[in-house]
Amino acid sequence: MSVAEPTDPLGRVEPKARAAAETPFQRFVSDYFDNWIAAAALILLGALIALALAAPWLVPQNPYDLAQIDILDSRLPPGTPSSTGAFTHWLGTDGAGRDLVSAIFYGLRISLFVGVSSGIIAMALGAAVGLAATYAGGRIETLVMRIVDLQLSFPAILVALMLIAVLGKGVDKIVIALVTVQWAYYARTVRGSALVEGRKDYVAAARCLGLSNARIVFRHILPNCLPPLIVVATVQTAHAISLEATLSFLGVGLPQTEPSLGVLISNGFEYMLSGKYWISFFPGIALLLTIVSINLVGDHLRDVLNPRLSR
Amino acid sequence: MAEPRAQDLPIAPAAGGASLSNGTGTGPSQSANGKASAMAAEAAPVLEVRDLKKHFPVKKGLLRKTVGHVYAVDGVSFTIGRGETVGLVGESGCGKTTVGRTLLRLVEPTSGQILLDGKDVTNLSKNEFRPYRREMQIIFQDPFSSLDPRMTAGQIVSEPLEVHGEGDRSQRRERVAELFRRVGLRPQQMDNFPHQFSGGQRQRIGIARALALNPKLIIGDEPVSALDVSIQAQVINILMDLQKELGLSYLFISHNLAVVEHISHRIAVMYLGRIVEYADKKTIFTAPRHPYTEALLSAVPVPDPRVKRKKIVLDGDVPSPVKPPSGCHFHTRCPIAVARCKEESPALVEKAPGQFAACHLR
Repeated sequence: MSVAEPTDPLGRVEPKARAAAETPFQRFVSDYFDNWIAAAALILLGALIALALAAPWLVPQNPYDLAQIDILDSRLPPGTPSSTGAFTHWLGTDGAGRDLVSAIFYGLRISLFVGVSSGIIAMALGAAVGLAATYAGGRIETLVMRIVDLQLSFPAILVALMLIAVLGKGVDKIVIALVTVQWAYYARTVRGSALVEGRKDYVAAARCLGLSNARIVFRHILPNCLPPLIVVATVQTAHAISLEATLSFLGVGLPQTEPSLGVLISNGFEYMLSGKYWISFFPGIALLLTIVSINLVGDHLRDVLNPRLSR
Repeated sequence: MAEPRAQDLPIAPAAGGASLSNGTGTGPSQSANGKASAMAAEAAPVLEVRDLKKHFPVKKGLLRKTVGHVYAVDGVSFTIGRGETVGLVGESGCGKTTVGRTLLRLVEPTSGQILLDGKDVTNLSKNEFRPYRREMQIIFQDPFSSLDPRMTAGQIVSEPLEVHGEGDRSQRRERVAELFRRVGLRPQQMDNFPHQFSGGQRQRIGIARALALNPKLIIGDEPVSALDVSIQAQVINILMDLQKELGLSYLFISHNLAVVEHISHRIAVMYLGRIVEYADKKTIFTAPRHPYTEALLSAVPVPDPRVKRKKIVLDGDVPSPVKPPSGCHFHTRCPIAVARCKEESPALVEKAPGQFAACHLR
């Protein structure tokens, strides 16, 4: 005898619930790993982040510590042993005698920190502004969204250059500049999805049940706006990293003493045609891998989180 | 066998049973029944609506100037008694959904009065109105957008309890399990997400959520229109069972006359923002007075190919609610309209005991 089938009050057999209990998150994870390129990109990105975080313990030299740098080691080709003989410069050295492996890992640290922290701050700021504007509605919403349009109509690099010119160099200044050029993307994204979600019946139901506005906004609307926000955050983080590299390359970003990938590329640029390719080339490869892996992850997230493509 | 039946008998006809069973009589007894149910409703109406209006402004141009109004609901009055189901029917765009949403203050009414248990709640502020929200709940048409996809079924049903501070965690869970059983879901399904349920099951979650706060009145905004016919019957039967058990009142908004006939005690027919006829179910289906009701009924298919029936086909489309016709809104399509209909708007008056119609001629 099998266990009695569950029935409804009218005695009909209940249709079996589809699949085992699977949270939206689990479904999302399995959907994501269906694509091997995206999975590889995520693994690569994870590895890059791990390398950047563990840099002080992995690399032979602290490129920020002038005592460890010997100017006589400058512009050594890849594979040359260092003057002290303690280690080998596997990727060569730059004009200041910094070991490139060490400089790249430390540079990755700065680039990722700048990208991620500006991304998070811009997301928090933009999401707050977008939600507030949508909630307020009317003239306030119109005004805020026109400011967003205005912000987005300026080229990001131009705004960032002007801000850096005013603020000066430094990691914190770069983050401020990047947040200023990027918050508007988040505000626009949040407003778009908050408008859509706010008109759905579950929000009307929540209002009928007497839920407070704060609860409706933060417990119902915001969580449902997260998927597009995550996609924008990924793409914008990659964008922030490349923007930072661009600014540093132009010589207005980070100082020489704190070399990000952009600074390293810029340092080697003048030697490019004199055969000393490695000074720009290897930091460039690192930057490329970082941005490509983040963009691949972001692109695939967009596919997986897109409700129109969801199965 | 006789004993349990004898025991069952006194319990069976619940609050609404009387007007449900008033079918077999001839003219006079029928109207007497209609009067009885109308009187019962008047004795202690759960909901009374007086001259409810909702005009949506139409804004145009750079300065958002109001250039006109959509007369979505244009003077609607009715009552719903305890344990009674009132069906609100009409074609799409006639304002029936707006009536439901206005009652719940999802849309603010332009004018008119909404009395909940005799208390005027129309002009209460949002915060003052919050306690009254417990009395009135809604079931939506679309079982997909009406549940938050990021919450489990159990969370969806227990959220109102949590917000209104009812019980602790385990008591709430117990109550949710009970509600699940009530609507024919298994309590084990509490931790599943909406996407793991079928349309009919989702609608049951919606019903459980609406029941959570023990409301007196549930507004069903086309609650079965999005479901398969077989599932429609299940959901309708659940609603009727719940009414018997809990003494609920329903405002059942639908365009499907067959469904409305099955579930309602009284029916209100709407056309372009106004109620044109309002009577008990039997009267509406056997002796309609308003020509629009007649036309609507003649469009209901009869499942018998041998029955030949005169179908009343109305000319033209429903006029725009932005510029409703003068006088009787229906005069542009009415087969019996006279000059007076164009000038004078007919009031909804009692033409026979318990039967209200808005027509100059009938």
